[in-house]
Amino acid sequence: MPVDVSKVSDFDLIQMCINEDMNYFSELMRRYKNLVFSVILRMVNDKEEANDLAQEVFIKVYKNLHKYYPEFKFSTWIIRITTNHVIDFRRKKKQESVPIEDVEYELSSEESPEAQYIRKERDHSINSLLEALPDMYKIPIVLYHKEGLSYQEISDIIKEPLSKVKNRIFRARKMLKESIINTGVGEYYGV
Amino acid sequence: MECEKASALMMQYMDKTLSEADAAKLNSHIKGCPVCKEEFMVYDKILREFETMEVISAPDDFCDTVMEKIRALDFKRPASTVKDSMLCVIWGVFSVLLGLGLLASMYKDTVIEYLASTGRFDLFLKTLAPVTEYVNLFTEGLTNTFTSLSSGLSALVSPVRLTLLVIFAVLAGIQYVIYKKNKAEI
Repeated sequence: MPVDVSKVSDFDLIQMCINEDMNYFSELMRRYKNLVFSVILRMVNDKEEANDLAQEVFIKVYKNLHKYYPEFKFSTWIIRITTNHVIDFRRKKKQESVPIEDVEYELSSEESPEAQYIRKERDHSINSLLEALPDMYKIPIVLYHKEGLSYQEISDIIKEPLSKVKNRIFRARKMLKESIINTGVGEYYGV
Repeated sequence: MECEKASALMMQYMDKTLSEADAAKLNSHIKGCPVCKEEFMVYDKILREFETMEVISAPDDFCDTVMEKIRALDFKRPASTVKDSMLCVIWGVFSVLLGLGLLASMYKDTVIEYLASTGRFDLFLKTLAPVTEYVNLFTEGLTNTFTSLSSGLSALVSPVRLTLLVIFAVLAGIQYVIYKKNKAEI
């Protein structure tokens, strides 16, 4: 009788994937691809790069499925792998980056009113303010406010004590608030 | 209410854990404090921005692409992880016990002297004395048997045996670290 995989728990699905058929992995991917993709995209802000990284993350997860122990939720485990992978990628990219004197500058043509409007909208959005935050603040605040994870889950992901996680989220909120007030974006928000 | 307290309540508001009573207190404070009012309105806006933030979805062909890549890998999963975990525990316990045992036997006089000097372990030492005697007799018996078996090599036996044990304890410790690292590394 065919198994209705949508009702199988994550852990059972992992066991089935390891012991029976690797194709069960696509159901796991279906459950978490959007979460992984969205976390990566908020960290790198480039869809193509995010797609490549998300694929690499799932391949890594597949190779290490046997190392998963249900002491944490599968989502916690997979987000930990995701954030570590993106941080490693950034580190490597930084090392390989082109020296500043070798960069060819492209002089931009005059902006059309439409482009100006789009840029203004983008500059005012919370996304652009988030982008400016360092990873240590950006990752916890996005996981908490956008992905709906609890303080405890974030603490398990970044392997830091609960108090530190709370502190970083509080600091991140304050940093966002300061940048809104100081850059005059407050007017845009009607404050 | 002070602004500092209002700020703490705003954090509770952001966490969605603010009680009705505290919400009323915060409300009455921000009515009379323009600085906190501005702060609250910005926080509230940030919260709403997060809630209305675009839901990001992975591309439609994402799963198929990854599955294709995985099939092309021809990846062989390592045999049993249960065995690895058990070996990890065994090597860990073994290295600790052996290491502590070696240290205790090497410095037993110092340890006993220290325990005796504190005066708080008199009863413990008295209880231990017959056991120590028994152990000494037993060890002596073993050593005698061993010495008689390896008559000519008896002079070399003790230091060689100790060195081997130390090496073995260190190796067991290294083995434990290797298993632990393999388990945790992703």
